[in-house]
Amino acid sequence: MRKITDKTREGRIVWQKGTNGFAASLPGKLKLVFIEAPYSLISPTRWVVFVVRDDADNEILKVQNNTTALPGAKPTVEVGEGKTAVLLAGLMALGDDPVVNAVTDLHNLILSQQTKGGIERAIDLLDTI
Amino acid sequence: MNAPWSITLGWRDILNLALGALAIYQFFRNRRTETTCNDVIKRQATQSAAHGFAEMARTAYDLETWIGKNEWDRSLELAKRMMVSLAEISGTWSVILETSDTDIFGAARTEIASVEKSISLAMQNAPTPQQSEEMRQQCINAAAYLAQTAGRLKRPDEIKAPMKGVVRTLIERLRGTKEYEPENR
Repeated sequence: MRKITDKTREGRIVWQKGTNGFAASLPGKLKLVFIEAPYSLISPTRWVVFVVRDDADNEILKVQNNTTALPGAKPTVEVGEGKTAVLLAGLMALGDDPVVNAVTDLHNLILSQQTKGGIERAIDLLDTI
Repeated sequence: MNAPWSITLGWRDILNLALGALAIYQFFRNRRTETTCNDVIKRQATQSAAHGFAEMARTAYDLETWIGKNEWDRSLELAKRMMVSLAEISGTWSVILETSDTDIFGAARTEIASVEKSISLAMQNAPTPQQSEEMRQQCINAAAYLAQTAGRLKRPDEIKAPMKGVVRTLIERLRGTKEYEPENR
């Protein structure tokens, strides 16, 4: 997750806004998808599902954001590899949800990049007047 | 001096030729019938799946209504029933779904699972109006996701195909040789 976030920050992974969220594709390698909630009071742009797939569309990682207004509901992480699943399950049991937090950080970064891009485009347009 | 080329066919030769032609005709006819049958079966399966997803979307709206009325017992029962139905629908129609549909469907399941947990907690401690509103929003989200999938499944094949392939699709359909191919698969 950290690598994806770093490469997004460096601009090496470019995210495209879609109907239901964001998607990025690393040709011949990975496909990354964020599905966002259309409506939410908790956060105006809450992500619901984050999925990583390989080039053959096999699911490698799926993180579900079960965050609700009521405290107590824990998010869910599903991974393709058995050993990693055990490791992640162990991390989840510690109480903190590092994977979910990492995905939220990535989502926030994408949102900030999109907003920044929009403002920059608006400034460029204003310059042309 | 070359004699003109000629062939003499007996009644057995003619019979063999006729049987051969008939066999070739039957082969292509069976192949076309099989393709057409598969096409019809898959179309019907897609229609059934679309109906199932639309039904689930309506149920998500019913759940939203019960939550709005603070009917927690009924809400929990309906949420649990939805979780079972969503798992069933996933198992039954996963073959029909495209990758993008699978992600959206996963989001719908996540929202309903989240609502179910929230209802369980709401039964212990009454939620605030804002918390109830968030639960309702999650039901609406799930309904929107499911309705979106239902809509895509109901969309005719002619619209699903890219514009450059429309003529080809129509020709193939007229010839009856088109095989079912969900888009982007």
